[in-house]
Amino acid sequence: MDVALLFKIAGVGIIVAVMATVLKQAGKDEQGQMVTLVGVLLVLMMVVSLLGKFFSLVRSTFMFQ
Amino acid sequence: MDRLLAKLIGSALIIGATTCAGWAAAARYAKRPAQLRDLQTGLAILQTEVEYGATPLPEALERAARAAGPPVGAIFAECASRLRRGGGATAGEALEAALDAAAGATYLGPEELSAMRALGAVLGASGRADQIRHLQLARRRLEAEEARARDERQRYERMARYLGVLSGAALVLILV
Repeated sequence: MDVALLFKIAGVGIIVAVMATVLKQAGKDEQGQMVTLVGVLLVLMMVVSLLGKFFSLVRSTFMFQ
Repeated sequence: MDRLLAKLIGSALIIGATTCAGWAAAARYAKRPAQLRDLQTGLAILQTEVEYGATPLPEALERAARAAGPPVGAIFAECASRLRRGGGATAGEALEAALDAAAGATYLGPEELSAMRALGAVLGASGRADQIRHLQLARRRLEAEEARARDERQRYERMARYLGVLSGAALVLILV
């Protein structure tokens, strides 16, 4: 397993959380939500290939051809 | 080892660049109220010159430029030098050209520029009372704008700085 990816995701999470807080404090709630959404999408893009691998593994384990 | 060093230098460059961008955006918020105040000072001097001195317009504009100081005073100074050069330009045309030339170096927004442009139509072209009335009107508009700029500064100055640093860190994290 690639541990670096986990740290990367954790880092993105922290930075996105702080950014959203700063934006919210300045009264820009909408932009804060947008930043959160972008963060979620970024992490999803990082793990989407792994997710695909995971599903194919499950399928081959239980022999759903 | 070499790759690590290259990554480190690249990361530092990216974070440095976005931090600078954040500070520049914060400086915009920080300097706008002061520049609006300078512009009001210049207009107040201009009003006094029109009201009590009946000074020729180029000279009055130069005094206003000195009172307002750089970079806002450059608008008045540019207008005065255009008037002195002659060439048949009216005060309104000179002010318009001066705004186009000198306002780019300031943080003045479209609202202030339109207040100044409205002034250009009457400056040196109508009666004393009318000019004074328009100068007062322009100063009131600038005052309202200054209050808004102060409010924005309080809310957005620190936000811009934080966002600069944080976006750099996020970019580095995603690219590494």
